[in-house]
Amino acid sequence: MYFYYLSPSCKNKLLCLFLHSKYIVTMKHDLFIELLEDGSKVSLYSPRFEGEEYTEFEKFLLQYKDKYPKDVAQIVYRLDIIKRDGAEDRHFRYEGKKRDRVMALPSHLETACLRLYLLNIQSKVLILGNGGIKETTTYQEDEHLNRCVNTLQKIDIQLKRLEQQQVLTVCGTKLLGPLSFVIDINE
Amino acid sequence: MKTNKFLDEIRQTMTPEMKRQMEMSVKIANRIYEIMEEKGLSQKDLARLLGKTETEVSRWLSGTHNMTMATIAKISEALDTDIIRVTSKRRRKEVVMA
Repeated sequence: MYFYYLSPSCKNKLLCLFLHSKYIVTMKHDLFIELLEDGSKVSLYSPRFEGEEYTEFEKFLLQYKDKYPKDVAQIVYRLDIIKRDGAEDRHFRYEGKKRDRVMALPSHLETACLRLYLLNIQSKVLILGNGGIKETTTYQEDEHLNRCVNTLQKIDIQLKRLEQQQVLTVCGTKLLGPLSFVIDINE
Repeated sequence: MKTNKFLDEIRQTMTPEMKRQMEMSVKIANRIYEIMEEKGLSQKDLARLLGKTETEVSRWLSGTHNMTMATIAKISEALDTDIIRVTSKRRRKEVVMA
């Protein structure tokens, strides 16, 4: 038996699906892919959800920079090297599924297993997401990391759709086209 | 060029030694990759030569791994090429005199 309930008082569109004894709550979120830094070989972007002050990458920096200063600084310098030299796949770790472009950047000395998740778009654009401390064998076993990866996977699906339609293109190191999306995230 | 203020703040905290260490790691990884390409070796081939997994080789090539001298020596031996060379003033003088 299915039951749909749409609460008019909710700011975001809330869709509750009851299926027998289980329910899945998904929320639609508006986001914008914001340019953080441009570069001659690689530019850095990050998604910012509507109503939030910081992008996902800025949230990652703010959350971990005080507790793991060396690891965060290493990740930042690693991004500087990538901006300078290029974003070849071998510089990252494949973390998502085979069909997606989700990759991980670990801190260099791996002192704290800090991971940043990102999308590598044609080795010219990096869309930096959020991340965290990885203490499990797989990211799926950690709720926070799983959400970070899942968010990027949803964004990747939207980007691929627009790229296939040639509505969104990579010109040099810039993303040209609509950069606002709506994605569903499991809460 | 546009930069991000949070990234700029964190850049100020990087020590010169840490930057140098990271640059060296990247250069070593790039050199290994270069030699592999020259010899037509894949990551799988190198892993097999060293008795390691592809995942481990992938980590070395990412430039984010803190390699030991022992590992560098093993890879050099497997590739039959020096990955790093240490220059010395004395050796240069000997070469010049010869």
